[in-house]
Amino acid sequence: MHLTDGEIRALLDRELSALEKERVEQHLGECSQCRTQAETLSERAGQIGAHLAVLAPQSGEAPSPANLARARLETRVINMEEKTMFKKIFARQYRLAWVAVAIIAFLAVALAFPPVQAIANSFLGLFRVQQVTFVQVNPGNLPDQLGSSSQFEYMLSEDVRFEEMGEPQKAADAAEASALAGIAVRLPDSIEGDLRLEVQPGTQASFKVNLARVRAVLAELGQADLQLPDEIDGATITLELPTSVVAAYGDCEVDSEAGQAAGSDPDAPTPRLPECTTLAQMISPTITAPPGLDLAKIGEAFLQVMGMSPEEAARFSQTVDWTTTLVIPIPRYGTDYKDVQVDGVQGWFIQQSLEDQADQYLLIWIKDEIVYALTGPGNISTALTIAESLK
Amino acid sequence: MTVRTEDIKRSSAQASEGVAEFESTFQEHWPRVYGVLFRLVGDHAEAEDLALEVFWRLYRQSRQASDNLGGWLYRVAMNLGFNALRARKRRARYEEQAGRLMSASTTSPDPAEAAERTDQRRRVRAVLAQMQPRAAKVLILRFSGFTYAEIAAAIGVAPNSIGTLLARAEGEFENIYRKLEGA
Repeated sequence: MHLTDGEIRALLDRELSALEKERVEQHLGECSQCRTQAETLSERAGQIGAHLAVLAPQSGEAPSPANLARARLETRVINMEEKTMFKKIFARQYRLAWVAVAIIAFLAVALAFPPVQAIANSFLGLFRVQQVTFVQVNPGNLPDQLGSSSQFEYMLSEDVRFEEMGEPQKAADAAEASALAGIAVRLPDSIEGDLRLEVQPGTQASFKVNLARVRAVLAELGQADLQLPDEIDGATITLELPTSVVAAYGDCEVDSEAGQAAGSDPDAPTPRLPECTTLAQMISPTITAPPGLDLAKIGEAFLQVMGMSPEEAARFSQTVDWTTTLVIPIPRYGTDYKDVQVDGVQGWFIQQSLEDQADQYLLIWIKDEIVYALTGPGNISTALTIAESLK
Repeated sequence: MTVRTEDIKRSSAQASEGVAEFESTFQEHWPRVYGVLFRLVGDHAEAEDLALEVFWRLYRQSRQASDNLGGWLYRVAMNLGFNALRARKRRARYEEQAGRLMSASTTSPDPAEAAERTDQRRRVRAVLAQMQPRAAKVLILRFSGFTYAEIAAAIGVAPNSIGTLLARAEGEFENIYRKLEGA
């Protein structure tokens, strides 16, 4: 039984255990065929080592000092966190976080609901999103930070039940997507590039309010002073996000971040950040909650968690119809937003401008009870051109 | 209701521990991550950019990546570097021209030697780009001074299989090198 190349190679690199080394050396002493093979492998390793040695950094090619590099990384962290915010809104792995934020938003909606209307809606209030409003907040309070809150994770795991109604499915064209999603899917005419269509299952989330835990989360977020009424303890609030259809054009990362996170397949390609335009459409989400909770202050509490001062929150709360409005937090810095006319209705447009990077936009509008959300690189005219070409 | 302040303190202590761990990881691994990436892409700025990308991903993943940290870092680095190398292969002709320009304008004290090195590097990277990705990674790591255990952690195999993979990779390198050199 001769030695394997692997054993010989490991011997050359002094990577054998003492026991193995003794055995392999003893065999080499007795076997001229293996000795010849060892010489061949040793010579080849030497040549290849010499080839690869030319790749090593020379004196002018050394890395920047670690402290300097660390400072550059910090800049990148700040830029990238802002840039990826748009993607996160609809990225699958962040959907649950957004559902959680939506629940907090809808909690505010539900609790601010005027009792008179609630009674008119019989036992359960049923609200449907008809409006979108943005609040400018400090990025430090966005969902990532909520995600690192252990109390928040605990609350999500204990008190929130998510149910996904199936698996995401690919669709070949608008007709197939329409059939799968049960809505008339519209696609833009005016956009170049490969189209990928994915039908994402609906999600139902129900949140049974455990007031002690809500207060613990608020305390961890530095909002221990917020007043919450005792009546909401034990109330169940259900959010239904219907099936949605996402059309992606261009260089998009589709579910790749999860793979990178695990580092699972070393040979898998790892795409860079994309030049990607996506259009998401779904029937407007609904919320059900026990009626009669007339606690308008909760809306303000939500806004304060999102980084508003108590005064700002109170002022903003006055301007919103909480029963029909989805309130989306956006970063206070580097973003502009305004109301626009799109697709024959009012829409909401946000522009994000970052140094060294293409501007990104987010355009949301609601037409015939369908919410459309368009994101991508470009400006308001890019967005409107695409939106107006929907067929 | 009571908020257990000890819990809150503990979780923020864990968070700052994580920060300290990230900082020491960065200081310890920065030159080495750069080193393997430079070997793959051969460009100072691009290698630093990719190395920062590796640490940015670590930063985002810091809560999950604590096991086998070195393995994770070099796995991500090799993936990024190898993808860059392959992308480069596609524009090899441009690079060849750029390589000539670069070696002509180099500030090296010995321009002839620098030109020769540029040419050798180009050939070696052309061979690596054509190899099986895992084999090329084993070679780069081995000849950057990694132990078998470190290589095994980075490519996700058992340490005692590295000798075999390395011998095979060297055979593959030699064959492709000969073919490219027309020998």
